[in-house]
Amino acid sequence: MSGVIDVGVVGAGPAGLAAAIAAGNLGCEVTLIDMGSGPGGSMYRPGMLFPAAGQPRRAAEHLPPSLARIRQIRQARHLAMTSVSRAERDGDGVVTLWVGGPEGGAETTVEVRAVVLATGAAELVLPFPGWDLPGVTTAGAAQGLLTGQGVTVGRRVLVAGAGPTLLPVAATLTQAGVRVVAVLEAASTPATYPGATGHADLLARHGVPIHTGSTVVACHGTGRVERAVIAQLDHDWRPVPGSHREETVDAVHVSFGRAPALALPRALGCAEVPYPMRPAAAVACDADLATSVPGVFAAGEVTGAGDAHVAELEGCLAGTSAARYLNRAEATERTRFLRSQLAEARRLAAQLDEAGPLRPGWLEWPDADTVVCRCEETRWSEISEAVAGGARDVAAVQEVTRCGLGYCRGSVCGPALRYAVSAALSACQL
Amino acid sequence: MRFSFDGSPLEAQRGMTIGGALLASGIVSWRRTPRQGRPRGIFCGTGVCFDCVVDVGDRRAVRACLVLVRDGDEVRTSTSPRAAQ
Repeated sequence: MSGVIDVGVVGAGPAGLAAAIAAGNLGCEVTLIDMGSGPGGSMYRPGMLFPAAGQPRRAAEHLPPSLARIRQIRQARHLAMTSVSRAERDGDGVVTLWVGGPEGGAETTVEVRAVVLATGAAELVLPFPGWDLPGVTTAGAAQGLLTGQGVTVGRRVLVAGAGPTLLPVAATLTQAGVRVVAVLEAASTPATYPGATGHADLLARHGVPIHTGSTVVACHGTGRVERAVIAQLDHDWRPVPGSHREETVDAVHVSFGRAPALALPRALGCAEVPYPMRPAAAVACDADLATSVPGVFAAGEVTGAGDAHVAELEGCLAGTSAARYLNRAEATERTRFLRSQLAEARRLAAQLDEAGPLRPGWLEWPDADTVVCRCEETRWSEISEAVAGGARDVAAVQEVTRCGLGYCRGSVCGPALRYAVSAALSACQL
Repeated sequence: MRFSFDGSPLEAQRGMTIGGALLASGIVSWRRTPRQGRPRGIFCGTGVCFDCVVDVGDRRAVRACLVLVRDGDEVRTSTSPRAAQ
């Protein structure tokens, strides 16, 4: 690939699409890079061949009109099914992105003058014994397989975790004929979100109980999950002694909310802020969504954005900011309008009861041998041992244990690792 | 559509990923971890976790949750997830 492109946008969810449209409309040449087979990200999943309604949808119909405009932006090139494995910014401010397909093999590079990071978030699953058995998946995986391909992981399942993902997934599975034994919400009340009542009613009609203050604390089986251990939790999510019971299941679908996908922002050296109430962080941005690194902007869930509307507005602003950085646009009335719209959208999103804070009692769920890093097979006890041995931050623990340094680059265990290290350090200082 | 997994013939519907087709055939695990030999299949379903990698023909460490199955694909247990890096 030759020639330096104006703007690289990484991620084609609502934030990335809006950024590509905004920058493209301002005359920038844009390359949009995304892992999915089409635009939409995890919010507007492409390739919905078997939607819940039962009727096949045409490919273009899954995007809302504002984002479907991406197809009219001639300056935008879309690299689908492509991920960015590495990124570097040189002294002249040119950012090199190493990109490759889902099939491994040779990588190529894309060089850009400005980049919008719209990498979204990964579903957060906390480790417990047996969480790496086949049949235990993220709630999103169960939802995606069913709505995208008509495939179910199990026939008799539990949906467990915390936050607003649980009820919609349980409702979708139930409608498809999967026996959802129970929905287990760790918090003391179920999450409220638009549509929650409808989902709860549907589950009630099918006799699916919703148990709050309870979760799956272990899974057992040979080669796949066969039994799940359910425990009641106290207010801090510590398992209540004597409350354990077993269910026979062939799948467990788990979600504790979402955590920003920070591998790429970190590779570029972007500063972070703690992500409110979560064991994670988000990319730090100014009012126009510039990160701490010149020419690098961020939008959507990676900044902590709460919903698709906020993500789309952020993308629009970040794409405009990237064009301004390249002197293709000036700060205009539109910029001020976007900022004020964004402030209002963020205020509304914050009112929705998103996944609440994780409570520290989850640290008691894993046992010493629980694999916390699915890639490097780091055991849970190795983390506290590393801290006891003198490691004083996440990087130092990683150096000793390799936790979070495998092929997923900590996308799965990173948040749990940060939480566990910080808890172990506070315990040392007492 | 027909494909095979470790030599066994299987069927799939058009539009299924390799992972979806394996699950639809009742196969939930198709790899072992290098150190502890723990079974792996679909976990994140979004191409993030690399749990589900398989070899397909001469392609190594293909993420089964992302890549669509093609007629005649010879899918095998992946020898090295590290090739995905």
